[in-house]
Amino acid sequence: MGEFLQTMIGGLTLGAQYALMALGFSLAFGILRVINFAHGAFYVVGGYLAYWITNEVGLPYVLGVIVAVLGTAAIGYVFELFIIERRIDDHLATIVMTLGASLIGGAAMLSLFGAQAVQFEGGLTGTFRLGGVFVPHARVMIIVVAGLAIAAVYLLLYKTQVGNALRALTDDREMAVAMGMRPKVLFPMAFAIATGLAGLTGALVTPQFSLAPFVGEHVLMISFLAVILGGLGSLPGAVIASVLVGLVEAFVGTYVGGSWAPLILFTGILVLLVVRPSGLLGHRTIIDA
Amino acid sequence: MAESLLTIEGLCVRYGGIEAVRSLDMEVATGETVVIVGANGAGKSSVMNAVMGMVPSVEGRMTFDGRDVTSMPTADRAKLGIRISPEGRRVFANLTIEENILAGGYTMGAKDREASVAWLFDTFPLLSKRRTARAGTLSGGQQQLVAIARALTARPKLLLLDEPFLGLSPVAIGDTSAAISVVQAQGMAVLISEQMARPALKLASRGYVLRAGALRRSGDVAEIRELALSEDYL
Amino acid sequence: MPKNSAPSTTSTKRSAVRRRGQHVLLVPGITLVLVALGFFVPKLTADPFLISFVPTVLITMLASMHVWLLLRVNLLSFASPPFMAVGGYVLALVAMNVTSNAIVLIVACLVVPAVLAIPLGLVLLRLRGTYFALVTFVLAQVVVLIVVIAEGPLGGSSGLSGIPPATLGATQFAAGGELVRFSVIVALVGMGLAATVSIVWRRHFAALEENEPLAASLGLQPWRYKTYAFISAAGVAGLAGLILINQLGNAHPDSFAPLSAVNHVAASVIGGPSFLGPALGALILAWLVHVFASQAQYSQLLLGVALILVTLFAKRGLTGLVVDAAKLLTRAISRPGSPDAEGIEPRSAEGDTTTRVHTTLTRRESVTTGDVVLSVDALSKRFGGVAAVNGVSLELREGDILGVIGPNGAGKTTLINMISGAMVPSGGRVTLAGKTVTGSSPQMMSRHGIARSYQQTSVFSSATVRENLRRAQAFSKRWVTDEELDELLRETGLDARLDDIAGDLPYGLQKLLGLLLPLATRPAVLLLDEPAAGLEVSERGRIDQLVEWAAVRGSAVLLVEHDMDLVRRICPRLLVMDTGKELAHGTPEVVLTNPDVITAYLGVADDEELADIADLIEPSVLAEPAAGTHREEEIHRG
Repeated sequence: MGEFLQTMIGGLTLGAQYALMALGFSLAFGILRVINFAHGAFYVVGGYLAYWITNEVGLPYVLGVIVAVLGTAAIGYVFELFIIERRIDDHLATIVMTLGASLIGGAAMLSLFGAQAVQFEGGLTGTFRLGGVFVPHARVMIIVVAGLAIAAVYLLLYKTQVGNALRALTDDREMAVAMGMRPKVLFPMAFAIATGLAGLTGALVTPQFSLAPFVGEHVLMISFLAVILGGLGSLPGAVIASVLVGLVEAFVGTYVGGSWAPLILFTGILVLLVVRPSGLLGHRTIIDA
Repeated sequence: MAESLLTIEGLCVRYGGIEAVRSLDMEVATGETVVIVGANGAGKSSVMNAVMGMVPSVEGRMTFDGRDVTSMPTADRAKLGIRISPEGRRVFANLTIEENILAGGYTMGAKDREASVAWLFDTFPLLSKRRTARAGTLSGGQQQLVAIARALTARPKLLLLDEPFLGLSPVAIGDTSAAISVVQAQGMAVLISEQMARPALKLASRGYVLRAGALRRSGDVAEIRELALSEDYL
Repeated sequence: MPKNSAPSTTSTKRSAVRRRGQHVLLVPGITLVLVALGFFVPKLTADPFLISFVPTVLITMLASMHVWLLLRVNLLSFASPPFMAVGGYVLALVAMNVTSNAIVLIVACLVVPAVLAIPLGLVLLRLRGTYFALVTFVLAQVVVLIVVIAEGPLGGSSGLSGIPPATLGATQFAAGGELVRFSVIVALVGMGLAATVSIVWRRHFAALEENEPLAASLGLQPWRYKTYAFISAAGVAGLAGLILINQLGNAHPDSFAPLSAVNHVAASVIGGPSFLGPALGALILAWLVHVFASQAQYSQLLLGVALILVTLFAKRGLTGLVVDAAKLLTRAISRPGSPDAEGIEPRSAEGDTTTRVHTTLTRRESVTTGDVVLSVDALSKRFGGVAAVNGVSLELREGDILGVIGPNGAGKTTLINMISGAMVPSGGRVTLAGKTVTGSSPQMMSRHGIARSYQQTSVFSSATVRENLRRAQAFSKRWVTDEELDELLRETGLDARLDDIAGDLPYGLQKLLGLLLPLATRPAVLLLDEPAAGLEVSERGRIDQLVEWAAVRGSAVLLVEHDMDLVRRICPRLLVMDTGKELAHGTPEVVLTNPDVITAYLGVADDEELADIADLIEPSVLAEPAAGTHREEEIHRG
């Protein structure tokens, strides 16, 4: 029972982290229909920005997180406005260009900080007990931030005029423009929010995991799983799928063996694609009729 | 005639190797309702899209509210007070009715927008009842009302209605006509393009008949009605 | 149609439009010769740089060829590392446990990944483009994990070492020139396979990449050719794994890092869609890696920048740039006039009304005997809350022509989409010659003999007219005779434009080509969606001829059209649709004076207006030009 509870809590915290990791990715996908292969790179850049401010410049960690968010958001804004926006309707082209961006981001971090993982000490330390389970404070903070970020994105998309406009642009870009909306303002902004979220995640999570130029790959993988499982452009779907992935990983890790989890998840995806092509919560099919 | 709101001189629209509109002159005065009738492929939608800026006008000049808008981007025209209810309605299918109407008021301040939405729900109780329904799940007639309401939120000076009766049942045509009358009562200028000439002519004071991209005749609604319209269609 | 045109043009056309097949064995033949040569060339190289560089380039080239092959059918694959892993581990297991015979190894490393690709393809190829890319990326991760889990047979995360090199007789392909020799041989096999596949099915692949709906409506089965591409791409990647592991001498999961797929995609995109693209891309990539061997970040940076620049400014990659530059050069040298100028010139929809239209045809009688070919029963289609088509029924016999008219949004195109298989009906039944075909795919409908044209021009616009015809012929199970094709080409005026690129033709000719393609498949049922829309009046007469041509040969024709003059001329029977339902059905004279029909077009009227309209609609009045306006009266006089 204790083991079960521990696994449950471990899975949920992992799932919350994953939800935060996948949030920016599914936002960019849901609104701009761009599969951002540079999402992991933005996560890494965010991590390094926070690391640099905290450990090398010596400013407080909070400031590092803020710089990470603003820095990645600014890069994302410029990248969308000058590069993605020019080929926004060509899905293969946007994939290839974000791949290019991810290579550039990785190369930049490699030349600035080297290939070795850096010791990123920041954020909260210490643990507390919850029902016989030790929970690190930093984990709790990540869960809280994940919840806040998800709520903020939800409120932005569904309760503000800007969010309404973004969703309208996704539905019918030409009509949205005829209502006075300007995609050249709104889309870079949405992409900046998405990459800023990746940067935020990097700043918060890399002290817990590890920080090296190539740790973004795992984040990308989690995001893919969340979007495929959750369904096309469904934000709640992506969040639920992330938590599910965390739970599967925790339970399989405890009861079967760590490396089996991704295999089980992938098999699950193949089955899901056959049984329910629209994903868990999506209402549009991702398979051609 | 009252002061001119929209003036089109020598408009030409081309795309895909076809000349969709040829040297068209047209005028809409403030508060006036004008109808463009013509068969399919006559170029009606091209005129509407050119006024909204959704297709580039190859030649000609267009002034709106005293300003030259010939090469003005679509979003700027929207800001000046032109709105369209497009052919095929094109509601934002994944947004609710309320969100669609809110989207129409994107350029307004929050207070004006809220007031406008309240007024629209007041005027169209049918929409008010289903305000949280996704627009994509509505019937054609309901979607047409949403498209018109969405175009009205910002209280435009000129409302473009592109084929508002397209694919609608007689009852829905009646509802849509009633909605258009509401707009006229607000003093907005309306430009309707419609194949279904009769209900459209009933709403308008003046009309233009297009055929194959060129102006065939224009004048008072009464004049147009007297001429045999059907020969342009059947 | 009399056969009195110049026989010389007929024969050149025939030989031009037909003639295929003899090249099919050429590529495998050349490959075989090259491979054989590879074994017998005495000494390849002893240069130490080349000994390590050549296999590296070849591995990247084959892996990029995997991506390239799938890009030809519009799919982006990140599955090069997993299939390389399959090939590599097959080599390890076979060489360690069975035999190190080079030929056995090559065959095994080619076939095993290819066979594994079949069940995977069944699931993955149903996905839309972007999802396919995502799932192949996940697949790459999973294969590495499987290797890690399988500690027993595959050595887990510590890998397998001590793999014996491939041998043939006394030759060991382990090091030096022999290693290069083996790598070249394997690469030749892989490139030979890729070349064969992309040449044999070049029409299918090109059509899928350019216009999948049109290809499917002509009978091409998209999933089948995507599967072929996927299977061969898997085999090619397997061979890349073979070279890699044979070179390393040990198999380790790290050699198949999922992210290395990014390099293969990069090489393929930068190289471009030419067959030599992957080779060029791989060469550049390997060279970059070699130059910046100690500072990998710079090669990575350059690669990233190149990916973005190529996507933005050189869609056809570096090989495309080379081809364009060559074209520019040759053009600068030969300097011909600009023959395409008139094709680009926009033309008015109505055009020159003085051109005479040949309307020597008399309208066909309505066909009331003979077998019912197509029977549509209460067909319906709903989109969300909108019923686009609501219980429409109709019957067509051999040689019958049925006009379907109605105001915009009446559901006419949706009706055609359902009968042609482009949309699955929400209700009702489609029966073809007594066989229920409701909801079949477009390619199955085409195979059953239902062909369609599209409202907008739909052709393979980057190919010549001749190539368009060859593709249609390659995809379709049925085809006209050479004489008939010649007739059709003359009828449409396309006979003089056979070698022009379809996309450069004037709008009217493109539209006519879009009609000719389905017609040439000799359909049992021909569905035409507004064939006259956008055509000049002078060109519209050709529609009469084409429809007549098909009907005389027994096709049942369903014609959706807004040009009422055209409909009156050629349709003995009309079905009027309004708001998705049948409004009226009968001869044009009866239907077009039906008050309900007039109301559908013009809206509700009072009785007085109706009486006026009924008077005005008499044919005599119609033929009279309205005062002060011009009409194309020639049609009625002609």
